Amino acid sequence: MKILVQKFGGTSVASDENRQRAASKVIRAIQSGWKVVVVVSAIGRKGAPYATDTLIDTLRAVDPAVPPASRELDMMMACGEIISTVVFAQTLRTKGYEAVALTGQQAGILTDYEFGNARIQSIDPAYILRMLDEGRVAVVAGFQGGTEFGAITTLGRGGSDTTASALGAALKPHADEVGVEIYTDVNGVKTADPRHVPDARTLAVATYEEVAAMAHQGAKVVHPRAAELANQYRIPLWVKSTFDDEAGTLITNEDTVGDDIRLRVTGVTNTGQIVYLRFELPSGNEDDKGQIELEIYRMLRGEQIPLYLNSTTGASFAFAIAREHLPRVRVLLDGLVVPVALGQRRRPPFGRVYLLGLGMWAGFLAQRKMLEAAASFVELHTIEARVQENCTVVSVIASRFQGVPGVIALILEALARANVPVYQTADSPHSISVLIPEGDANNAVRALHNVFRLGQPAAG
Amino acid sequence: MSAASKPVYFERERGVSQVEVTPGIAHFSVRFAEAEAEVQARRLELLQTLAAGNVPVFMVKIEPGALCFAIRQESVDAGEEILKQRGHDFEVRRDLALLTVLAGAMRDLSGVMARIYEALVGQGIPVRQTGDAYNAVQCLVDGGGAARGADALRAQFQIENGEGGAPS
Repeated sequence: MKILVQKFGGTSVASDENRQRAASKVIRAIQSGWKVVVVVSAIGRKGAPYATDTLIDTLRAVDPAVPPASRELDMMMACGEIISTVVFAQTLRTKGYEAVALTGQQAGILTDYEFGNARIQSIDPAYILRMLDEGRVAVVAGFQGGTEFGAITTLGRGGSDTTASALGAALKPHADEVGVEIYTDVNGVKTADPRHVPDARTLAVATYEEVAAMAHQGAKVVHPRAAELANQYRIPLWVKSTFDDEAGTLITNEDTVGDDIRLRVTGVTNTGQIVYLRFELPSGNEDDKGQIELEIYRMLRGEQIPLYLNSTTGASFAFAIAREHLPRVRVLLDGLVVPVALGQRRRPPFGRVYLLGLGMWAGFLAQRKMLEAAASFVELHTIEARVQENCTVVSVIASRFQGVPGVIALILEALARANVPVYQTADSPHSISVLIPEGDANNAVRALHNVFRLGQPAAG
Repeated sequence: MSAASKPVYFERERGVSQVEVTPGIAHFSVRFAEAEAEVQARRLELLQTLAAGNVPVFMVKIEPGALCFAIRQESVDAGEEILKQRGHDFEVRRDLALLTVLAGAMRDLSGVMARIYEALVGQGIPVRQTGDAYNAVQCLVDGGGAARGADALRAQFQIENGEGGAPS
């Protein structure tokens, strides 16, 4: 038995016309000998009556001052996909194909209890297999599952892509061949966002690692969880458009491709509205830096604030946060007092105390007034952070280019020519990123796309 | 569950999964005397010169009035020679090791840096430079403390034999 999982996103099922196009993809696969499992997202985007955001707004409107319980919020959000399955199954029936709509739980998807961002623990595909054996199309609600005691959960960002890959993995032991197709409104994985880079090219083949790196760094192609699952279970994954018949992009294992793909610059991405924070200790106090960093990171962990683009050199250290977290970070860190080596001496100064300032002043000034009273007992140092707002990250996705002579120089040279200032860089085995002013993002993406010759081959 | 079907288990990899040690790294810190407006061009010139000398650099970090980077053991002498020839003001710290903490999706995990620093600072191991990507955090530490640091990180993230890993 050959089993094909086809996932259609919100736009692909947003209207009757689009659903007819999506259904024609399903029918073509059946006619080619596949048993088909369809995964659907909720119908349309915000504003559409059954879109996920609309359902959330409906629940919150009961009383904006009282946040909904996470369990009930998940139940509400799951309704959008459930409605979509029924409508899509009916669309197939009207075309003469037997189809059955399944919730995530009915499809056998068991998750943990993390409402809003659940992880799939296991899938029992028995029900789906029975439907396929009976010659029906199984239409499964994406983005959802259920706990062992029956509560409905949602899978978080990219949940429907994850459902599709996970079903492919669960069905693989029962099939001679399994494939997963992710249908969207672009015809594959692009070398850059075509809205900003008109000559962005569709990649015929990409590796799971390339796609995961692109997705993590801002490309809206397929969710990295889906790519990682497909990689883990060796499921061939296609990204295609619902709206044309182009071949799309095959996402596959690195072992199956040549060096031309394994050792290439894949694309350029842009992500994030970012704030960069830099802290400078007084010269000579470098040995205390680790303790201060630790206290700051602990404070941020307490509020589950992710940080990245970390750097620590000599007497300074720096990191980036999402702009949405800046107000909270200011509250947490402005006026933070970090004692170091306190009580290790028998005579004054008994240790060192560092006071952090992050531009709010209220906490900083209040703490300083109190600490100044103790200045004869401890060494008091103040560290005022430099806050660089309105930044963004542009990344060149390039496998195995870390440490290749000249790549970073080439990137910085291209950005200098484009008059884009670079505040910081970060490199890894899969990408090289630059922190730049947000207003220069499109300019930077185009410059880097151009310097690595990623665009369409010239005509003629 | 039908007799014909078996459940498939997955998505258990949440959290840090592996700690790797790469010895033989040197860290360079090059200072520029020019005003900050000119330093961007000087940083680029330096990187171009190193590239022309076939010296690969990584963990490149832009600091006020300075540029820092790491070089693997086999290219350290060549890198140092180029910097001397060009009359750069620099410091080099040799015999460092790179501790790489790997996770499925690092940026979805909060608190990884705090836990890394708890492990390393708790062992009195200074971190000379850090770098991060979507699936890794890298810390440059003194080579003599690398094994101890790796053990502390594995204990912190409850990793045994390179597998598993507690939620972070």
